[in-house]
Amino acid sequence: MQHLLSWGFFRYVGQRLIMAVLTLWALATLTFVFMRAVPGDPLTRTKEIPATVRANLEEKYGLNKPIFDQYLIQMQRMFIQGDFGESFRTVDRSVNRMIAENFPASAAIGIFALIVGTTVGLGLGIVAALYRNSLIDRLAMLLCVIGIAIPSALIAYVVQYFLAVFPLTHLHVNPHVWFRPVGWGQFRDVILPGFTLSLGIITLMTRYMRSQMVDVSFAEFVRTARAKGASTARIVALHQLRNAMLPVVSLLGPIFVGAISGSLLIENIFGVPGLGAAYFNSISNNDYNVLMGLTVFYGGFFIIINLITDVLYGLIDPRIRFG
Amino acid sequence: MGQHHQTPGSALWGPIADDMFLPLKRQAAAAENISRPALTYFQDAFMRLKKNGLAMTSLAVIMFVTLAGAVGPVFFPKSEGGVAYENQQNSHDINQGPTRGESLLIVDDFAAVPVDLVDPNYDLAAPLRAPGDLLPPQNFRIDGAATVDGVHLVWDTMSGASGYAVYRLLVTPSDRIKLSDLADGTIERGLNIAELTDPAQHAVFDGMGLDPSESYLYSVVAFVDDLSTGQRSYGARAAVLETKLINTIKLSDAQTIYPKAAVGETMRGRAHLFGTDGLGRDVLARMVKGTRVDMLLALLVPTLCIFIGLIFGAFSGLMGGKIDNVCMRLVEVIDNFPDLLVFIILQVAIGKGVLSLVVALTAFSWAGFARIVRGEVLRMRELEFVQASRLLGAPIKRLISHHIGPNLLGLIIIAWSARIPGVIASEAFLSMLGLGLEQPTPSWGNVVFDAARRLQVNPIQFFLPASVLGITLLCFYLLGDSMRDAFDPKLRGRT
Repeated sequence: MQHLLSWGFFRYVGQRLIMAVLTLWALATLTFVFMRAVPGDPLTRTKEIPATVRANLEEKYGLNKPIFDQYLIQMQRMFIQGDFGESFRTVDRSVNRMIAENFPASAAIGIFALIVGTTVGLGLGIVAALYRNSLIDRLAMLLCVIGIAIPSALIAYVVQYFLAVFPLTHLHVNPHVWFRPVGWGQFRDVILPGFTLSLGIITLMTRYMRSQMVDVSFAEFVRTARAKGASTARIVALHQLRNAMLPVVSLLGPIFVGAISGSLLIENIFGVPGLGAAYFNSISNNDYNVLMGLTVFYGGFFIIINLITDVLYGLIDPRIRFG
Repeated sequence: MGQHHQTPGSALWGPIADDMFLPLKRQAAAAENISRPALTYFQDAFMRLKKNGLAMTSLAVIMFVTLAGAVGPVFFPKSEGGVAYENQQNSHDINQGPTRGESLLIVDDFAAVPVDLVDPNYDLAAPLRAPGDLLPPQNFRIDGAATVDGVHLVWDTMSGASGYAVYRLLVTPSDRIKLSDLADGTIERGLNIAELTDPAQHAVFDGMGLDPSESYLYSVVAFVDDLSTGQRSYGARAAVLETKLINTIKLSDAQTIYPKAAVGETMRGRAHLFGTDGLGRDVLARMVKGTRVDMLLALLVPTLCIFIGLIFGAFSGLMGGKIDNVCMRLVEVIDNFPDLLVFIILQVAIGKGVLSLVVALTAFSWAGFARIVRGEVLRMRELEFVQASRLLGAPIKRLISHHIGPNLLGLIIIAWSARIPGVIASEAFLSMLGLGLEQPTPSWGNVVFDAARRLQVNPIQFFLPASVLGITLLCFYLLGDSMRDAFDPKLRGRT
C-alpha cells in the first residue's frame, strides 16, 4: 500500500485523467462532425413538417444557430454542466434520464455475464491447464473455438430456441417458472441474455488463464517450490495461481466495459430494454443529443474503468510503481 | 549377432580381416555440405500446415463452400422474367421444410385440385352401442372435385334423423389420430362446420379451403330433435372421411421446368434441400448465391485493412516520438468510434451495396492492424541484426525491404487470416440490423437473420443456413489458428 500513496502515484492518476478528458473531447468532436455529415437532421421525418413548425422547433433546439456555435454549446453543456441535453425525438425526455432508465437493464445482464463468465472461465482455464491435453482440456478448447468463431447473435438465437422456445412448446414446462423467450422484469429474464453474453467472456478468460497457468508452471519459482517438497495443491494455490492471475486482472477492465455496454443484438433478440436499442434508434433517427450523450457516456465509462484497472493492477502487483 | 558365427563358410560372414576396413579420406569441405534441400520460410510453414489434419479439413470445407458459391449458380434453373432463381417467389411453397422434390400431378391451369381419399370407407358396420342409438350416415363421400377453395361433402339421407352435424379436423403429418377414436367421439371431432336441421339436405360445402400440405378429417353425425323437450340427441358414432389434396402443379408452371409436360402426367417437383423461406424462395439457392458476396468481403476487407494498417503502423513505428504518439491517439479514437454511425453515413453517401459494405467494414477496422504492426516495428527496430545493418549504413528503405518487411510477413498472414471470420460475422451483424445488402440480393447474413425472425414457427429454416454459416466461420477460425502455428511456431501452445 505504501507505494501507492506517493507523489508519483497522484501525478500518474492526474496525467491519466487529463488524457481521459482530452480523448473524450476528441471522441465527442469526431462524433459531432460525423453526425452532422449524415444527410438530414433530427427533424427529418417521413412526412414533411410545415415550415413554421420547423422554424419553431429549430429555434427550440438551437438548430438554427451557426454550426460552430452549436458545437460550442453542446461541448460546454456536456463537459462543464454534465448535462447531455434532451432527445429530439421523444418530447421532454432528457438523455440523462434515458441513461438512468435504460442503463440498469444493460448493466443487469452485463454484471450477470461478468460474474458467470469470470467464474466459469477462470475455473475452466485452471482445470484445462492442470490437466493439459486431457479430454477436459480438449473440450474446453473446443468451447473456446466455438465461442470465438460463432457470432453472438447466432448463439443467442440457438440459446433462445433450445432453452426457451423448445422446452415451452415441446416439453410443456411451466411457463410461469421457465425462461421466457422474450421479456423483461423478472430475475429469470436476466439469465438467458446474461448467459449468452457470458460465453464470450468464458472463452476469453479460459484461453488466457490456461496459457498463463501453463507459462507459470514452467517458471523457476514453481520448480523451486516443487524441489523443496511443497505439495501440488500448495504449489497451485499459492505459487501458480497468484502469479497467473495478475495479467488476467488487466483483462477485466475491457471485459467489464464490453459486458456492461452489452450487445445490441443480444438485447434486441431477448427483448431487453437496455441502452443498445436506444443507441441504435438514435443513430437511425439522427437524434444528435442521444447519440452524442451515449457515445461520450460509454467512452468515459471505458476510460475510467481502464484507469481503475491499472490502479488495481498496481495494488495487486507490488512490483509496479507509478510515476 | 550370434548367428553370424554359425556360417563361417560364406565370404560375407567369414573371418574379419584388417583390409576390410579402410579409413575414409578426411573431407573438411563436405562436412559443411547441407544434404537436404534448403526450405524457404513459406515452404517450411506450408509443410507444417500440411501436417495439421484439422487445418487441412478446414481448408477442404472452405474450398468446397467457395467452389459451391462460384460454380453452384450455374446449375440453378433458369431465371424467369428477369428474376434470378434465388429470388423467385412462389406463393404455393411458403415456409416449406427441406424436400427432395415431391411427385406432382400436372393439371390444367384452371382445373380443380383432385382430392386423395386416404380412407374413404371407414368401417361403419359395427353394432350399435345402445338400443335406439342413431347409425352414422352411410356412404359419406366427396362430390366432384375439391379445390384449394373447398370441398363438397355428400352422404345418403337416412330415416329417423332430424338433421346432421358436420365437423372438420385439421391434422398435420405429425399428429397420430385413430379414425375409430374420431368415429366414436372419444377425441374431439374438430370444428363444427354445419348443423343441418333439414333431414332431406344431405350435402354440405366446406368453403374454408384446403391446404395442400395438411390433411383433413371430416366426420358427419346424425341427430334427433325431441320436439317436446327441445333436446337434441346426437348419434354416438360418426362417419369419417380422411382427405388430402393431391400435390399438383399447373401446366404452365410445369412447362417452365419441363417444356414437354402434359396434363395428367406426374413429375417431380423442384427440390428445396434447405426448404423455402417466407416468400417461397429456395433457401439453399440463396445461400449459394450469397456465398459470393461473403467470400468477396472475406478476401477484400482484410487485405485492405492490412494495407492501410501496415502503412500507418510502419510509419508510426519508424517515425517514433511525437508523431508516433499522435498516430496512436488517433488509432485509439478510431477504435472507440461507434461503428454503426460510420456504416449509416456510408450507406447514405454511397448507397447500399457491396462497395459500401467493403468501405464500411474497412474504414474503422484497420486500427487494430496498425497497432500490431507498430508494436512489431518498434520491437524489431531494436533487434541486433537491424541495428547492425543500420550501423553498416543501410538506408531506411533497405531496412524495410530486407529486414523488417520479410519478418513482418508471417505476422501479416496471421493477422489477415484471423480477420476473415470477423468480416463474415460483421456482414451478418449488419444484415440483422437492416444495414447490409438490400433485399432481395442474398448474402449469408440476409438469409440467416431473415429466417431468424420466424425461428419460433419454422426453426429448420434458420438452423440449416445457420449451420453453414457457423461451420464455415469455425473452419476459417481453425485454419487461421493453424496458420499462426505454422508461420510462427514460437507461439504454439500459447494463448
